[in-house]
Amino acid sequence: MNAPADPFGEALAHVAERLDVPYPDRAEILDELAADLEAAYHAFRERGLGEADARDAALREVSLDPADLAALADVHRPAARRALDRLPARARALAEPAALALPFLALLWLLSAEVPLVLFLREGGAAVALVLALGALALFLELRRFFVWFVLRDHGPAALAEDTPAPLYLAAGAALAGLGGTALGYHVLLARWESGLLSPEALRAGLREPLACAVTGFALATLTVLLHGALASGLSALRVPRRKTGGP
Amino acid sequence: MTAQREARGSFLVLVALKDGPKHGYEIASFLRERSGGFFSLSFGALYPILHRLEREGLIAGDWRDLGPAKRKKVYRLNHRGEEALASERERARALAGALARLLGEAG
Repeated sequence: MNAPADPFGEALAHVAERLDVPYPDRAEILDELAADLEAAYHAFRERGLGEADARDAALREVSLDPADLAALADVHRPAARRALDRLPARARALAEPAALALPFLALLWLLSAEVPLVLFLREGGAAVALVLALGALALFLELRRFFVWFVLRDHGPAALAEDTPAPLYLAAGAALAGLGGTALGYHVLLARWESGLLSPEALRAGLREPLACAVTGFALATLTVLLHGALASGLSALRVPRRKTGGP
Repeated sequence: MTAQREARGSFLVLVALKDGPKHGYEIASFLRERSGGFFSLSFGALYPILHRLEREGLIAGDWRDLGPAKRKKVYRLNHRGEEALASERERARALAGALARLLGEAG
């Protein structure tokens, strides 16, 4: 029987699953462990052990138990998680959502403080509410990922399971809702124009106002797509293994 | 790991790197062989010590390519590490001398 291509692949995958260390440190630890396993394997082979026995002996010698993994996790714990760990449980439960919501609330405050922007949004009519809801949810999900992956540097299986195209679908929804709102606005405008009820001033305003809905939808969708791409690039730069996901 | 074990492990790693750069397996083998098996560090204990010493700036790790998608990390003492080793060596000698005197008096 041929020897497996990577005799320590399974053992390393098992360590990777249990190692609570952020990337790229996690990838470097696995590389280091792989090199030491190889070195131990060759040392046992030189002592006359067969392939399988040398492999088993190397795995026994270069093994990490749960206490070792905890010690490694402690050495590599990111500063933000250390700071949060020092807080009492109740304070931590408040601190995490607050830190996450802060940039989002700041963005909302900036938007509401800009009166022309609010007027612009109001021009879009009721459909703008749906566009804003979908776009805000998409941006919130992206900000949450940023906080978990790059501030807390949590790269555990649960955290990385959030690497889905859901925000892209929401962004597409915001863009489509924006288009729909604009189309509806023009439909109403055309109906009024056909009935001869529109003054030239009302026609000019009517041609401009529905655009707010599409512009808002596409602006939020574009922002979401850019953030999504930036987060994906950030994960790749950290050598985080990405799972294949589809997107709209 | 207790603080005492960790301090002893750190000292042993600094000693192992005194003669030149080594990777993890070489450090563990060096300690076991040179001490006749008296001192040994399991890999589980070794990695946290190496990484902590690297973060504290006492040792530096350099990656060396071993071929396609394979590389190993080789550690070396830096200036701060040499100073820490010299200080620890003095303390170890003082401790050994005091113990020898104590045992001599007792004997």
